Amino acid sequence: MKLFLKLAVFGPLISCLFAGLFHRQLSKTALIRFCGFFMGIATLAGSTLFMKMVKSGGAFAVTVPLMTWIEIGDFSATWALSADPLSVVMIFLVLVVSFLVHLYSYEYMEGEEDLSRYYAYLGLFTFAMLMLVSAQDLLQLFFGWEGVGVCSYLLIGYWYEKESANQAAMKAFLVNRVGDLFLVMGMAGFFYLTQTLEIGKGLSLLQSAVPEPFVVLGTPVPALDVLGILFLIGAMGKSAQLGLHTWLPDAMEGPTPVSALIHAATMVTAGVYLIARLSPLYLDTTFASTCVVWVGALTAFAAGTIALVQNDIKKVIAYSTCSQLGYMFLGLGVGAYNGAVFHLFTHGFFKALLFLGAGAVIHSMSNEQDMRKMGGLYRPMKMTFAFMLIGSLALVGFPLFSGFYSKEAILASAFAAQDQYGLGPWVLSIISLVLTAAYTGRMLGMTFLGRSRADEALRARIHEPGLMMNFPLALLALGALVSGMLGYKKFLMGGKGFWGDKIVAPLIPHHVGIVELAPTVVGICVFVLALVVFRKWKEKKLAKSIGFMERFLVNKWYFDALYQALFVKPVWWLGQLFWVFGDQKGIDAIGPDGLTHKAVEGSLKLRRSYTGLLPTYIAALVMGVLLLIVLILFGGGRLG
Amino acid sequence: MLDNFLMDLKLVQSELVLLGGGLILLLMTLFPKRSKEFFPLFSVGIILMAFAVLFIPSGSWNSVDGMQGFFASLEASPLSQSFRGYFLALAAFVLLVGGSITIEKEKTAPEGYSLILFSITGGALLLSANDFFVAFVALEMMSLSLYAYVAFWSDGANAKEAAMKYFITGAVSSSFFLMGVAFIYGLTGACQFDEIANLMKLESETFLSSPLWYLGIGFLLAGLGFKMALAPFHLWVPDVYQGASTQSLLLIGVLPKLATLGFSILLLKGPFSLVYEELGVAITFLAVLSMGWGALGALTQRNFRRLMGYSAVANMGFVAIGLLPGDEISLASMNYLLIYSIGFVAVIGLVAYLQNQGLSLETVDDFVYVRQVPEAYRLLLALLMFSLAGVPPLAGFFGKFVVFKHALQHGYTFAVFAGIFVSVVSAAYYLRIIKALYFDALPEGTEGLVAETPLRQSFLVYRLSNLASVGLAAITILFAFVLSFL
Repeated sequence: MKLFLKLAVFGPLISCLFAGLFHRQLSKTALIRFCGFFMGIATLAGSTLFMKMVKSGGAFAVTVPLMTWIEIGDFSATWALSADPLSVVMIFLVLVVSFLVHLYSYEYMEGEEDLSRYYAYLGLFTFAMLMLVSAQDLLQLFFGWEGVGVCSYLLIGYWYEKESANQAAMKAFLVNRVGDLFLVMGMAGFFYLTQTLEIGKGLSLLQSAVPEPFVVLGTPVPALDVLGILFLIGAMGKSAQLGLHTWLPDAMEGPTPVSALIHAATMVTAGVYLIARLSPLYLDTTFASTCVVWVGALTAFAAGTIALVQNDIKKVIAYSTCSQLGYMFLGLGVGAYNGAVFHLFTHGFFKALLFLGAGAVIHSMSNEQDMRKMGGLYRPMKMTFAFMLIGSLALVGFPLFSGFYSKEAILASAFAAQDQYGLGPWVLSIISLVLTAAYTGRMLGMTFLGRSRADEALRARIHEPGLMMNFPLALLALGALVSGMLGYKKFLMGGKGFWGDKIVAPLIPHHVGIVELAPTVVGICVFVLALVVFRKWKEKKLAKSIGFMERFLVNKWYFDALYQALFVKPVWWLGQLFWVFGDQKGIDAIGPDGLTHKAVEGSLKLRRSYTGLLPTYIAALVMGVLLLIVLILFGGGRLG
Repeated sequence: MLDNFLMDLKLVQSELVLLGGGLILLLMTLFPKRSKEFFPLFSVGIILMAFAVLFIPSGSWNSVDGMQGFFASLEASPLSQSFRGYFLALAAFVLLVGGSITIEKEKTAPEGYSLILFSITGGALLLSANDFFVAFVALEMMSLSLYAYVAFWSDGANAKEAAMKYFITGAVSSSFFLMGVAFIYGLTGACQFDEIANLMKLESETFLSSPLWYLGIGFLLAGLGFKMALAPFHLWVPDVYQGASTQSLLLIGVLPKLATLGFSILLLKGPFSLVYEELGVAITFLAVLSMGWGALGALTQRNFRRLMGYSAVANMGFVAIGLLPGDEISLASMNYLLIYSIGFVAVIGLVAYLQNQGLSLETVDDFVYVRQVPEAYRLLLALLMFSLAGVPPLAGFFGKFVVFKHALQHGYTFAVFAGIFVSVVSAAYYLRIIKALYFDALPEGTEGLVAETPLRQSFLVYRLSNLASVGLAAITILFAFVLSFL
């Protein structure tokens, strides 16, 4: 099993190095075959691990120590790969989606010039993500955390000729840095309290003795709450939760397969993973958990509303991702850690499916992403429509589809937790569910139903994707269909069942009643209604239906404008100030520029005074001797 | 008597070998049927032989301390012997590189090489002089042969102008030197270094209060400063560097400087040791002026040869910093000069070699064409430029480092600050060449312009020279480390 674990983690790295180093020697096809081969092996190994884990009921654990990273006094950080139920689930999900994206990209990205760069980034991302989820040590986790951040930056900016792609990449990176800062502070606090960065050891230390409270601004705050908040903000950055979510929609500038892999199925779930991994810590907090609940509920609601008015097909799905991540945080907050991870798992399949399906549409529409110019696509793209429908139904929570099981688990837990948090979060999540149904129906309707709004030339080119794109779609559709059905018993098993002591897994309340049935029924109705209504798209229809809210939503709750005014502008002014008055007119003018000008001026003067005449030379000789003698006679001693 | 004479001869064995070689070459003018590559190879052989016999007087350099001869007009000390060693080794390299690279483009005649050998004889003799008259004769022997050599190979107006200017200013500077000797003789009544040193110890009060003494030293320094191309005695440098043939340039650029510097060190440590301390300001003045003038002159210079000329002046300024008086014998200046000279020979040799390949490398901008020949040359040139600019870990850096360390240890903060400042300015013109080498675009329509008729590669000497310049470059780059801690 150790070998499988190593293969699973290092396969993508080999693929990355291969694509990065040998792209000159190999043809494009050969290169992609090699990358696909390594990824395939890694995926097989990961799947084997997953099967073994499921079969053994979570009883099996492997740790492969690689080497010691840092050793200073008592402190040591090690590189190690560890497989426990949580990490194996993540490894499986990451590898399967990554492998399918590798395959899908072969057709989707054909004709790209430097495809090797793309594949190298993909491999590196997958490796970093696997390092993150297989870490036992917060430092190694942080390595993976930053690694996926960098790869996300690189992949969003893959088309670096596009100004918007560069800006989006920069934005994603900077917003993530805000979260990262808090993660580092959280790690520092963790180390301060436990003298270790090893997750298991530290958590058990924290549980065995309640640490002294921190004093924040003169008031004592329970130490665990402080840690919880710090880690929460860290997770919010990576998982695009309300406040730090603004980068995710912009990240859609990257290639669509990248969006499916990074900005839907894997990287953005790292925050959820982090909190689930630290669940024993959150279990003992009240304030931090409450924050997690409300962050999740508000994100689910806000992102759902914004998704309603988006016209870019990828942005709809991006906001949907945001909203679904909110659900997961809600689940984490109310203590249904297993439910949240389960939703992460099923969401990985159906959201990747939706993204790749949208990619198929975009690909066949010659890179058109605006839904207002689509419509009627179900006729020429029946397969794609079927896949998208499966994904949508899973997203909406249609019974027996995967999303149904995981979402129900979270909703039920939220309802059950009303004693602690009130009914607010639950109500918000129900509204979000309806919103989800609405925007998903709208998206499907606008894209596939009704009459085509594309022009003639474009319409003639619309085609079903080829095998290399259909195969991943089909596999993901399968996952979206059955992963809930097959998984819910294992994943939602309470106590120490499947999850062992790695994450806290309460028993999910499960009783079919009006509370659970009604939202589902309403959701389905809204979905169908939206599908029908938005079959025909007209400008202003939406505005009429939601009135004054429309501007507010179209401007995405004014988050970007607010940040622009609050942070970006002041920092920009400050930078301008230092640049113009500090650097340009101050240091540069006096220092480098001034001195160079003086030197060049002096040099030119010297050149102009140069006569090339012998008498001048001799005069200079004589003057020189006289000066020298004067200096020797009267100078004496030393100068300076 | 005869025994004594034979003993004395041991002091001048190297010079005898060189002189003999020169005379043989002169005789060879009677038999003009020699192949071209014979003369440089022969000369290099002679110099190497001279280098070898340097060890003979008593088997090693270290046990010849204070050995005198010819009525104490010559003296061999470990220091002077090692200087002579450096001088002869460098001379051999210069001839190997220059003689062979220029073999096609420039006239090869045995007379030329005999002049070179005479000049080297003068330099070697200068380093073992213990008497002002011998020193003067040696200095003139070195210089006159070089004047003649520059003139000997002067085709075209530039070259004639160079020869003329070199000769006339050189003559004036010699008169300064002689003037200095006269003043000192007038004061002390002695010409031998030992004698002067002894008198100094006995009657230092009288001497040090007499202006004649300082006048003498001033004139002497001016004369030597001219040979070392220190400002303000350097005005001939750019003209001569531009006009002289490659072979002459290599010789002028390296040999007189090394010999004169060695002689100056011996002089300052020997007869002038008591007054050495007093010369701080004067040497600082020479150093700072040379560095500043050289760097500013080179900064906007487009012609490569002239640029190297100004760069030489600036570099001699650094050498002068190393010459600042200190407590014990410091070889910082000699160390710097050696590193600089090796770099200089390698650069000029490489450039001349590339010119032979058909590249026109007249101006700094012309260096864009270097990318038309194999990549290794470009890399080598760039590394050499970095070394000249003093970028660690290359040799040039260690040279500067040792010089600055010496000056700082003895409190010459001003000179060091000036040196660092000039280093920055001088980096600009070396980097400009690197910019042309690597970053500037080739002008339109000059792709594949390299030499329709590259020169014959078959000469043994040719290969040797290639090897030698590459080897020199490698030495500069790699082994400078060792040199810098001599």
